[in-house]
Amino acid sequence: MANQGIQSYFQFNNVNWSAMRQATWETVWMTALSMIIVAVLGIILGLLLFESRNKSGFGWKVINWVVSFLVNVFRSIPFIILIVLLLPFTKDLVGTIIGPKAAIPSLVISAAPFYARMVEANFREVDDGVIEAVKSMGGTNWDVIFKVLLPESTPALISGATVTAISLISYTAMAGAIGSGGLGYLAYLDGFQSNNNTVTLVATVIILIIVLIVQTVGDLLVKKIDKRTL
Amino acid sequence: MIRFKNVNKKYKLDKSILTAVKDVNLEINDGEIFGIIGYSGAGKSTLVRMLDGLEAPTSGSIEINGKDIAKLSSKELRSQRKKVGMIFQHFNLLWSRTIQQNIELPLEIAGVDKEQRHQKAEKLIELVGLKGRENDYPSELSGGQKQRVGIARALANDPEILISDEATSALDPQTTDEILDLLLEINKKLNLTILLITHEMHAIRKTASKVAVMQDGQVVETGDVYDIFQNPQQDITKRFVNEDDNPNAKDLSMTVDEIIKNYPNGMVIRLTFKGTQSQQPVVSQMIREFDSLELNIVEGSIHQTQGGSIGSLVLQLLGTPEDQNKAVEYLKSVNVEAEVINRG
Repeated sequence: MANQGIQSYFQFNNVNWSAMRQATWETVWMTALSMIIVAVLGIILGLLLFESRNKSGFGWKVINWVVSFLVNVFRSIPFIILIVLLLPFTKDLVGTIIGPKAAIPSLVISAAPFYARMVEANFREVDDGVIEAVKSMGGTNWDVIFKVLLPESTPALISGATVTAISLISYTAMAGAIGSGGLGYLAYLDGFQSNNNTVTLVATVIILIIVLIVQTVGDLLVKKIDKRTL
Repeated sequence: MIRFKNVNKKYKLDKSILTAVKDVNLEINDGEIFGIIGYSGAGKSTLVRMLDGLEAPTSGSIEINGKDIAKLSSKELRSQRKKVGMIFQHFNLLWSRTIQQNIELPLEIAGVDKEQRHQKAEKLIELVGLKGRENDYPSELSGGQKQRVGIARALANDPEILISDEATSALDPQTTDEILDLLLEINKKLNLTILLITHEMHAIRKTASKVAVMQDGQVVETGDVYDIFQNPQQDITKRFVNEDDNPNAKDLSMTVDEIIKNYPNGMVIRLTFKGTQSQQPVVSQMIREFDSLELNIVEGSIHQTQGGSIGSLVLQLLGTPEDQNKAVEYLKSVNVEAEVINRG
């Protein structure tokens, strides 16, 4: 039988290639779009966490408490539960609960806090002496953010974004379970439910290739930007 | 003119209060190189941070040209800081920027347009001797070169005051001298007031005209570098002077012990020459004056300070006891300080 044994991985004529291409595209753009939003949100949240960390004002303390709380909560909820939990919110926000568009809010909400923590840690790695030097030149807090924190931590921010993007790819596959589209959905629907192991294998290989590309591009970028060592 | 008036700085710790700076009074004139020396934890850096408005004094006031730093609004403080350049022990350059971009940074912050920034940076790169390295990154430079970038950056906004916070402490002795020479050159060329914070007496002696010695948050001794070198009052000052004067103090005392063993009848003395005295043949005149007198040279050194040179010579006098004593009298009569270390 076609659905049994190792042979079942190699029934390539059972693969619907146009559906596979469609699913690949959906995975790529779901990941790309949510990563862009995650990067922007994550940097803003990370900056808020960093700036409010050691400030004494009451307002800063409240900001730090609120942001930390939200970040910790959303980082702790397992993705598969989060996506179900957010169904009503998604429906109101994007008007549907199926398809790649519907996956984006939950992807962002689960990955942004993760990235925000990385961003905060990266900012803390920036040399205090350099920050003080800029202040002693008469720099404002904005000067510190745009001329020191961001440029000096860019390589670390990119490495963090690479890691986040790769976990986003696996989240998109999980989102397939509730009908998000993409390779995870295809592997679940055509592969698992229709007992077509070849589809599962091909989807897996494509996902691996995407991950590999993301990792390589990220590493190359970091290498090009990082001027800390010769 | 910088004026510290009864400045105190206290930090509240969990259970106690730490006094970092205690009742400091200092006046620093325009165009002067003023050294502040002390071991780590003496309060030097706190003093400088207060001068730059990075921290406020608990009591007392710090004035630059009559303006009380602690009373400025944050906007006024930022524009005040542009008139104070600062160089640091660890250079604090941005590794993500080229040399040129690092030097342009204070100008960017001051809102100078691109064309002018470029011209100014080029001039400064030439002043600190880094022409041709404009587009390199800090990681491609040696420590001394990085500090040159730091100096160029500190000068970008044409400051009135340059603060050097342990700027040579991470450099080797030769590079230290090069950087100190550069600071002297800048001081003369631009008539810049330089505040030199350090724990090395060598740096003070080479560049500063006045010095304040700090210990436990207090200024324990202050005055002309030349005077302090000749005649240190406090124990800590003596220690600093000796460290610089005679880094081989242990070797010296061993040599003296040996000489005394070999020539038990000689008298060991230390002569201190000041200014033009160090260029006169005092010792050879002394030998000719007293017939029985002979001598062993144990150790000698000469140091340049901004106020003139100071020489020191350790001798053992041999000969009749009368002539030995007369020789010491003779030295005193020509105003050479003679300290008897061992009477034989």
